[in-house]
Amino acid sequence: MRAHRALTAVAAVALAVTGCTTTEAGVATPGTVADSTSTSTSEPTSEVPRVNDPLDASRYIVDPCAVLTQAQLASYGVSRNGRPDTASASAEYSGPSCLWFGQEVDAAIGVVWQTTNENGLSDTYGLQEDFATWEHFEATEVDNYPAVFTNLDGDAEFGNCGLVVGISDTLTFYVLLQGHSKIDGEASCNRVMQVATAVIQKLKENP
Amino acid sequence: MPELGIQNQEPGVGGRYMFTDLDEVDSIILELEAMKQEIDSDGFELYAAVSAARNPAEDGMSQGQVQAYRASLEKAIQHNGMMARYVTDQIDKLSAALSDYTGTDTGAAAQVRAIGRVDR
Repeated sequence: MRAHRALTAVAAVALAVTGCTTTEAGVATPGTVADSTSTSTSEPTSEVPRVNDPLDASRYIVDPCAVLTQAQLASYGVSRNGRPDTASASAEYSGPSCLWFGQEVDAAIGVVWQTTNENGLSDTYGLQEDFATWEHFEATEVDNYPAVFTNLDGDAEFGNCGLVVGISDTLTFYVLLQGHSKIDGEASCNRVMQVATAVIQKLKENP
Repeated sequence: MPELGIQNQEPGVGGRYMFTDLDEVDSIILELEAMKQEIDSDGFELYAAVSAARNPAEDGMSQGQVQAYRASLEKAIQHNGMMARYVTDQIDKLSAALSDYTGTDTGAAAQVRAIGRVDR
């Protein structure tokens, strides 16, 4: 666990007091997460987008495969049931997840509830700032929620694409598509964006 | 039954698998499909682990530990991607050969039946 988490909690409280840059619901806007009183060197110094309209995912953390309906999955070429993981060492380390294997379309789609990102997207930005973890780190938005594509150098070649989405300042979810070298990186990332949008919609409709 | 030959073009040039039973090909495809799911599952865990890498403390050694861990995960992901590609290619080759053989066999049967009708 990163040593700075406690400090970030202080920072989060400070931010809650000082407020965000806008009050419009559901619009992600930049705000500084690092607190001037923090002595940690691991806090991201870059501006991390804040979540202005947090979503509750507690239901899907317990039942990760319920976050996408069969109808939604069918549109991604997935007709098989997902494989949930809530109890393995991986689930404990990375968070509860569900992995769906494509049939009609040759790809696997996974969603991880990153419960270990206790500071939300700030942890992902911190990881990038501290270790340059991903060669391709591109900020974006999913249905007005802040997100970032997190990809390694070889990912596009394999048709893989990953996206981290912040749904509160204490929780993110990660979507990964593994394309088995059958689709290019751009198509893979477009599909990942569609899946992430479907997840957000589900969270809004059925919290 | 005639042998079903499937050319194995990579990595060895000129390699060839020979099957004498179509059911055997079906069972191998199923085995490879199951293998691919396990490879995908491993890849998914590796990617998720990259996103969750944390240094236990702020000192240099701890930072270095995460860097080494991250580099190791990236190598494993590359290996996983190549394994997925290899297995996917094998499934495609076997499926195509099976489909081709079945189509040829059906066509030949139709020709034989047609000849039989003419002879009568």
